[in-house]
Amino acid sequence: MKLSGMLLIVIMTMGGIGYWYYTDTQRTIAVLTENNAKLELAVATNEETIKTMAADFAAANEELKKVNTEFANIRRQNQELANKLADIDMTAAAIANPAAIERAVNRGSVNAGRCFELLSGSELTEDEKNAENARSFNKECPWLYDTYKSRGMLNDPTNNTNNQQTN
Amino acid sequence: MLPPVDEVNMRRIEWIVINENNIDEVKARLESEGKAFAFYALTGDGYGALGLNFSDIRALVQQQQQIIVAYENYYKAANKALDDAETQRQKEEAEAAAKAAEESKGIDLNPFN
Repeated sequence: MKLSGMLLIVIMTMGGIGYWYYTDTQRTIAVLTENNAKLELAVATNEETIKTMAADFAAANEELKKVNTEFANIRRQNQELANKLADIDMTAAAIANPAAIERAVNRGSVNAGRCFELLSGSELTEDEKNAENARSFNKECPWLYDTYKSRGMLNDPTNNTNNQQTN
Repeated sequence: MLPPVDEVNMRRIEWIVINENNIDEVKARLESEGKAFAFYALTGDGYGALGLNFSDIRALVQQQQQIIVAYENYYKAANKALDDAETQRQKEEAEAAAKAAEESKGIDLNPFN
């Protein structure tokens, strides 16, 4: 009897310790699980940040490359007038044929002014829309022809011919 | 949204080319048009320099336009990347919260459940 009583106390003590151990372990597991979830979230956020920064860097690099290419084109275009003037002696031409030079410089000035108007967003004239090539578009900024053409703002010369033939 | 720049309308300018041979002819032409014989003159080289200056300014405008386009493209791409990242973060946060809620129930050791 005495022995069974002691055994009962030992069993109850063991049961209590077991219960305490179980609840404590469960609490620890819950805390660790929560911490793990937080860490997983932090890792995911970091990975997302790194991905975003890499994409950002790639986009910036792409734009830089495009700007450098465009700058090289612009410098080449700007050099065209210098090359043209290097081939012409303006003084000699003004002495030899003032009337022709007068017409040429007036025409050139109108064209050069028109380039600024176009760069500021001016609408295209019908002549410009129907231009068949870059030179007939504007001799001072012929490169704008390709820009407008790529935007679909010019009339297709083939269609014009077809239309005229139909009419 | 920023407004576009004002459109430029260039004023017409008239160049008159004068040399020692045609000066009387030009004078007579101006008289017949009722204009005074007075000029702001450029030499041939001066005219060339003026043209090159204009060309440089045009190149400057074009370069500035390219920079603006590049910034616009860059910021559009950067904003999109940030929005996507924020959406992804919110999604992951919601998933983590759901997972945590599921796991907070603990390990069920009770065999009679």
